[in-house]
Amino acid sequence: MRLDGNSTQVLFLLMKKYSIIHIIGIVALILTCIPIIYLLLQAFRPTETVLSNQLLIAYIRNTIIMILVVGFSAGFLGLTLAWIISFYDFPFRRFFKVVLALPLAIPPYIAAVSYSDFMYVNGLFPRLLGTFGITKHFDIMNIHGAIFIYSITLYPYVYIACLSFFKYTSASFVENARVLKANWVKLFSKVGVPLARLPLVAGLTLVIMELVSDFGVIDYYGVQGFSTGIYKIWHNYSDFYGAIRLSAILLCIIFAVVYIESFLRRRLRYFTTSKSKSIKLIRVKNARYLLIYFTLTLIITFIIPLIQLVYNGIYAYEKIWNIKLLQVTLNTVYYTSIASFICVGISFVIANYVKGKKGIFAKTISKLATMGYSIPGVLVGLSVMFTFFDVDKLLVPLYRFIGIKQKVLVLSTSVFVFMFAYVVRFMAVSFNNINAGYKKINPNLFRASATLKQSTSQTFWRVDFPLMLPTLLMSFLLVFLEILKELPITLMLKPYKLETLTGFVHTYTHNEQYSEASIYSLVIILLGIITVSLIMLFREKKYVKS
Amino acid sequence: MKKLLLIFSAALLLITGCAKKETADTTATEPTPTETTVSSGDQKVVLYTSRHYDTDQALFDAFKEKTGITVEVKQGDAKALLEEIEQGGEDLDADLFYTADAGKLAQAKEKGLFQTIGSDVVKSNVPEIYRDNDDMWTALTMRARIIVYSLENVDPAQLSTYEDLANEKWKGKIVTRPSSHVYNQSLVASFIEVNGLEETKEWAKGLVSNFAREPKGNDRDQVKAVAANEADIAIVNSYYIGKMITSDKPEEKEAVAKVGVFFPNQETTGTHVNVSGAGILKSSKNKENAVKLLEFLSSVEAQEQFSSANFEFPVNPNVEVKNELLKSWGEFKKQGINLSILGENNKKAQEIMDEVGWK
Repeated sequence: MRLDGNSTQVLFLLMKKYSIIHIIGIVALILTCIPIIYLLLQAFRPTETVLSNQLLIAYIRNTIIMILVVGFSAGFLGLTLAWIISFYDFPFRRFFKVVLALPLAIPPYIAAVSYSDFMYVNGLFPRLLGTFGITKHFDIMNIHGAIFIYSITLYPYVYIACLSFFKYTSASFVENARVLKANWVKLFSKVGVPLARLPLVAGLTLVIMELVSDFGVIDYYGVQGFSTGIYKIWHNYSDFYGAIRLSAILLCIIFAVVYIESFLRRRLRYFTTSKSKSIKLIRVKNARYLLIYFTLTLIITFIIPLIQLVYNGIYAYEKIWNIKLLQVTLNTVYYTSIASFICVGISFVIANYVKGKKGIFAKTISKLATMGYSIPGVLVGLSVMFTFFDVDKLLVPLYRFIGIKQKVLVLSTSVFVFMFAYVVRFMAVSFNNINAGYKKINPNLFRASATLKQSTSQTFWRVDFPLMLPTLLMSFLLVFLEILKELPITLMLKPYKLETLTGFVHTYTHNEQYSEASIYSLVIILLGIITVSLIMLFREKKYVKS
Repeated sequence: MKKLLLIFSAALLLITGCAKKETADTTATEPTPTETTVSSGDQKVVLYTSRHYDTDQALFDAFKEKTGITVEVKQGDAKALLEEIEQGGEDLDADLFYTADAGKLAQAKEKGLFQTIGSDVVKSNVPEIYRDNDDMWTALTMRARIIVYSLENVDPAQLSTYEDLANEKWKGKIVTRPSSHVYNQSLVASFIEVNGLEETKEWAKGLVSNFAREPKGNDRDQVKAVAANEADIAIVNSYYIGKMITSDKPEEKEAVAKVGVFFPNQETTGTHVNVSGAGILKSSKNKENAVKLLEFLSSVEAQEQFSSANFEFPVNPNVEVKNELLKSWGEFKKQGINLSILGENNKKAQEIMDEVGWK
């Protein structure tokens, strides 16, 4: 009895020290890291293949070039567009604010295929030129083309991050600068660029992680990047662990960069204690050049790929446009919503756990948990699957105990693992967004709650949750967009019978039937447009209250 | 803000609600996993495939109609599927592995993932050269890797063999897709068998130096490049030509109308062919059904479908090709090598391609 009493007391103390919500956070964090650690461990297996140094150097060189140029151009586009929209007033401002984020709805590979079609012989652009008597076509299937495609499809990450940041945190800086009569060049270079460091880094991290993990675009364009090396070792030399090793190296590099950056940023604080007020927009007197810049960006990044897809789709639309398409669309919305919900929920409890922690452990492991975004999706899918193969083998006695006969791979073939793989892959998107949301909230609010004798769990529901709700919704939409476009994990882990939009896009592009694929791509983009519009609408509303 | 939130969540609920109902319906008709293994195990066969054709699905539907057996298809990248099969081992719910390259089939065999098929029907449907020596897999369809030439710039009399493409006269005139693609790997792998390692290396070196541009794009893009006069010659798979001719897009029809088709090495070693084929996995829990599916897919009925709808050559010699295009190409001499060699030589082929700079 006494012992029992003691242990209850210990449990009670533990519960007091580590609230349930924290324990869930820790468990979720560790669970998310396991597949990544699994992947890192596999990298130490002996492998026999060695790619020649010459090849490796070429891969690394090309990837670095792409990172630098795409980083610069996506950063430039995202930052300037967001800056102008945040602080200046001009015709169609609200329209552009929303539509400039739309390219996020287009999967890079689809954009790559559409664009090369558009520019090549017999394509729409040369034909347009032809009406002016110019016979010229463009072959963009090379590294320049790849850089172009990544820039136009990925810049919205920077754009969205900058937009929300400028709105809520930098108004006072800009007003002060205006009072001091800074001209627009000075304002942008001396205030805008330094201020934008946080959203720039957040946005560019996603851009770069997505870039290095992508294989579709560079393979189609014949560019030899780091992921070419990963695939080559695996597909051509049949050395799976060699491929994992290369990914692990890449992962370590990205991890180091992200870690060092956050270390350098550790003293910066961005929350404002005063109620943030909306800034007065300055009316641009001669908005012609501005409008040209905005319209051109919109046409190049969004309208052109869309036109090409619609054009392709015309030829197959009778074949595909039927009730089945609707069913597949609903299925996709359904599983994508659930997966996004789970992903955001897990990221939220993890972010809540990490928030108050000063120690290195929580910080390191939470960064590690976001690394799935920099690994090719197919490898994330496989490592999640293999991790759960092992878990299943451990759990066999339990399965027999609860009456599941014969079957061993219970968890690993379940919907749970299907959903969980998305969490591992897209943690960076939801966690980083939620974490950034936390940084904007004045921590005194949590302290006040503690002073009022609220437990951590109570605080979580009464303070964190309502304050973070807009951020959570935003994360939900961002993750929704990612899962909507995701292919390898979906193919690998989805239940048989679940037919998805990306599945059909894959089927038809694999067979080089682009007309058919275009229809499914267009539905993905349409759903994406709805999602992005919702994202931007939430941005419109004023939701951060401190 | 609150209103917006409300509308959004209502919409979401509505959407998920509808979808949920639908999936609930489909799951209701589906047996639960535990039931599957116990009672209705003979009603299905699980097929892991890297092929993604509508025509394949049509065949599976026909199979279900005929036998009542459902083909559960899991699509994916061939390598990813193989890793899963290997790691999952005996516990995996997978009966067949079906892929579009003999090299990959040979690799699966080498890894010990297959068991013997043991079907006399398959043996009588498929000639020996298109089956594995140990009866571990069988080919089901065939495609040839052929030369496509510009009708405007090339006199077909100039064409003879693959080997000739390394000749200097073709400098800057040839296009093909990257070496990352298995069709090119298997082409080189077959040459190692036919001409030996050193000669193949020399040939690959010559071929690469004749490239009109860095390898990129897919097979259709190579045809388009020839049509656009960017090159005179492309090495592509035969069935894409059929697909382009019957394409809905006028651009593709226009492009393919500007090129001619040539089956190389007719006087010498024969045109390189590769197959799609399947084997029964060791983990199979529905072997009988798996055998039935292979017997069906190699039958005259199914083989006709492959050729008429997907422009692939049948492997069953009893099939009369009715497809006009395939008929117009006529009979041709095929590379007579054992296709398992493609798997064995794959790595060497890759090394050669890396060495000579075939990107």
